[in-house]
Amino acid sequence: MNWIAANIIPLQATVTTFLLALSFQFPMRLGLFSLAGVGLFGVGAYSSGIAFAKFHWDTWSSVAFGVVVAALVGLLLGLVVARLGGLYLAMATIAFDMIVVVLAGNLTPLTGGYMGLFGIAGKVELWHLGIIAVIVAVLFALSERGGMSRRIEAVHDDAALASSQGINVSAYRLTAFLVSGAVAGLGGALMLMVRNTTTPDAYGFGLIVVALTVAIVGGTKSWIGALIGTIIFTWLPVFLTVVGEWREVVYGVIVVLAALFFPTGIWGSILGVRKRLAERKHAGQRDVVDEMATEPDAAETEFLQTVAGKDSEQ
Amino acid sequence: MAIHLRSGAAAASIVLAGALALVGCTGTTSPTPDPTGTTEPDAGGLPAVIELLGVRDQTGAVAYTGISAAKGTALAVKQAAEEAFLGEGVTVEVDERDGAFDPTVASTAITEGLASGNISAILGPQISNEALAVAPIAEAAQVPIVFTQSGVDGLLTGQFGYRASSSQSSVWPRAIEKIVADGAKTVVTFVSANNATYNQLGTVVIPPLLADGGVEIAQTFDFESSVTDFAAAAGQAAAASPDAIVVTLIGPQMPTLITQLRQSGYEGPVYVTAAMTDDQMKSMGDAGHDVFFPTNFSYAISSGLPAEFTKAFQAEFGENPDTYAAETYDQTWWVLRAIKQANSADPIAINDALLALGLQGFEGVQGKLTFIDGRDAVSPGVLVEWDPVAAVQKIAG
Amino acid sequence: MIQSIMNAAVLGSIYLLFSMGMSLAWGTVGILNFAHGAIFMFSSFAVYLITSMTALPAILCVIIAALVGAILSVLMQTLVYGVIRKRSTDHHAAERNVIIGGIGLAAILIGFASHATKSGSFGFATTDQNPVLEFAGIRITAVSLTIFVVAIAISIALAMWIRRSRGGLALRTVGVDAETAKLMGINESRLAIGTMAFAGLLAGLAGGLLTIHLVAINPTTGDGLLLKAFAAIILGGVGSVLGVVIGSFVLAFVETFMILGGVGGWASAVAFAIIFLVLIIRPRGLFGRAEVRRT
Repeated sequence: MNWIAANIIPLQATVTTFLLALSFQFPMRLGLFSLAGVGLFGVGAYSSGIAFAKFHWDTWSSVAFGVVVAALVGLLLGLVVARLGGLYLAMATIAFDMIVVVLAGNLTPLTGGYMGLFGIAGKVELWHLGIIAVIVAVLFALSERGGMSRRIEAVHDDAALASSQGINVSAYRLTAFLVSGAVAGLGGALMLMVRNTTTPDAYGFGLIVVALTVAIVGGTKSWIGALIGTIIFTWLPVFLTVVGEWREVVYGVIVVLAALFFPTGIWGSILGVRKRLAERKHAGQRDVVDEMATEPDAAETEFLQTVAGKDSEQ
Repeated sequence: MAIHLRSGAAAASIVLAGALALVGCTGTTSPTPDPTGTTEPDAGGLPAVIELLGVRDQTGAVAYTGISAAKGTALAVKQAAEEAFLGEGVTVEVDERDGAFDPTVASTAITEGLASGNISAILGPQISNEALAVAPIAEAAQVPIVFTQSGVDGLLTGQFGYRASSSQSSVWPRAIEKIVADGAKTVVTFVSANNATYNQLGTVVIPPLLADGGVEIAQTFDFESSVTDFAAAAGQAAAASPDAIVVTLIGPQMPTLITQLRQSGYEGPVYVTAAMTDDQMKSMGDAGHDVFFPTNFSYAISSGLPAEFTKAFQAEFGENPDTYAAETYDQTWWVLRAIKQANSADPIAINDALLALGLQGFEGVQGKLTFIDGRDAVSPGVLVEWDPVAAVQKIAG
Repeated sequence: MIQSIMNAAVLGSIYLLFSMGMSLAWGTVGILNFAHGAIFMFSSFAVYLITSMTALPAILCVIIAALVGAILSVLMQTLVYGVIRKRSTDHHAAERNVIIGGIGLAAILIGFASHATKSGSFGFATTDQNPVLEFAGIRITAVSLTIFVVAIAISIALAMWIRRSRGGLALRTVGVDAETAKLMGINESRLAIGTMAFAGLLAGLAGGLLTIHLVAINPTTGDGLLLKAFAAIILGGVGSVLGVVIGSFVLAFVETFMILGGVGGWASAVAFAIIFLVLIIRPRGLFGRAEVRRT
């Protein structure tokens, strides 16, 4: 119990960063290099803060407001950038994020200007955050199985081909922006409720760099990658204070090593290792079956089908 | 598919287990303070070791502020030990932790520091974001926390928060006095657009002071912190031939601006904030003439407590002290005196003593200090001028 | 007014000098170097270390900075970017990991410089002055004029080289289609190293000249300029020399006249709005190539 109380801040940050990381990971799963999650994180925070402080709504209504506004802004953004892809989309979404910062800083009567918002004393406990994280993880996990998952992968691998196969690519893209907005808005609103204050420069280029690193190093194939990245980069600075004045250098070295040795992210590498182990086992099984020349039993059949099914998805 | 499900289920169950563990706990969101003073005799004796927790930036974007701050505290603690200020056999230990310019890291440092020992008082962060993040933690733990810098409004709303450094607003009247006394009629101001403290200083605090002195602001330029070149605005300001120029930008921007003002032909006085380090002022070379800044401390003060502090600091560290060290010197001595007055290492007793001392006010290296509500330092301030030839600060004539 | 226009032009050439290297690498060999700002800063930092021991003439400071920049960039390419691209299975993954690698490399360089300077500012101890030249009532410092001339000269030389020389042709081919380029016998790896070396040289050159011009910079100055570079490059069009020239000057003029107009707090908003609008309306920028490669 003492450990949790002593580390409450990083634990809170783990949940809110996880949500932010998902807002990056989900569009990337579709092949959309959108960095808008940071700006939407800010939109969620500020909307919920304004609802709380100016409309005097209660905590959870304010959070819901933040989610809805951020989701809608995300959708709108998705419509506007519909034709962009690759690095151009990345640049456009970075520009969006920076515009959000300047608006938050200059629309002082609404947002408190560069002083920011104060005293947003929301009643959010750590266990609230825990439950929310689990629910969101389950929802994302569900999106990673079944037909929807295969269609998402098709869009990622080759959007033009997917479209010719009858998949409504633009609907998937817009959904990605909507979901990205919703989950980022949730993260931002919760972060504000828990920290009680925020300023515009919290959502600037620095956070973009952090979120990008978390999502990519963790692995963009799955929500699990986002979680891995979050845990590493939330707790790393805490552990790196041991390294003292070389903190930033060590951080940089770790990131470079990740880019070199985990090109599909840490989760991607774990999946890759699993695949190789399974293939080896599969090859072994086949030899045995040929030698024995008997009917495969139910367990073998199920195993072979499982491996075969997995192969077609990787 | 099955493997995805299995891995998904595995991961989900880990998260679920973690969440259940959290739910299963009572869900307190604040650390309970470790019991202190359990070994103290009721006759109010001080324990052999008194622990203070310091959280300042040793790394990060403004590491030099925290590194200096730690030195100011170290000197105060050393002097107290040498004169046995708290009595024979009583030592004060400071656990210095790095805030790393990150509110999350600072918050963790405070909670871990509090959990790891019997902390009597906290020497808090200098960065507003970090200060705001850690203030509730100290409040909930009922341990007094004394900040320096961290000039944001709404920081000291609790019962346990104090600020030992005076704000820029309280010292700027010194600069305005000189501007008016020199007979200035018009000034041009350069203001930070997105640094809240400096923006407020330049747009809310200074203009009325100038207006009271009958000085008109001919033009105001505002700049975001990312601007590095000021030639165009400097040229236009110089062309307006103002009697004085007032600058409230962030530290790194000011040497460039002042140099470019001189290059544009403006040779008059420039009044800036105390945010420039000596190195930054040296980098201006000859352009650094007639540069003034109001501040709460300068190593150029030749008499009294400030001078003694400067001498001791030079002897200990071989360099001149800056305002960050001076502020934490006062901060630490405030805490030490509170401990002595309370005659206890109990945080709550110290908290009461801090307030009592604050309401009285005391003489520090920042001058004669008074405290708003007994918590927020106000100093009379001194106007300093940079001497480009000797490359040192001097008191404005 | 003329003075202001000239000041804006100098600012434009500052942005141009900084952005040119980044645009070249991005537009030809497809490396978006997030550590470009860090190379700029660290080259200057290296010269600061040297001049803190012995003062040097300004021109030597700039040359050393340029060389340090080139070396740093080559190291990054051979040890990190090149390796990432060789190992990558697809275009997207390579792009992403080059960006992440750049972020890490930047953090390393900034970390070293911050540690050494305690995150304070640093400049050069030069043996020369930076005199103010005056003609027809217009004032400009020698260094400002140098920056302007150097930026324009390099742009013209680069544009001509890309258009006329075999190396330039190779670069353009790689920029359009790397696969075909390889089949035609172009050694992409060597070309990438050469391009990055030149980009690093430009970054270091910018670092040296700018440090003298601004009197001092700090460890994070490079990152601040990075965003401006994005704006200039996107506006002008990735891969076009003329594009980055126009983009830099438009950005500088907009920023300058907003500041002079008293609305400096919105200057970067306008820059980002420009990026956003350009990408929505005409993604390839004013002068960029139409995107041939499938994204």
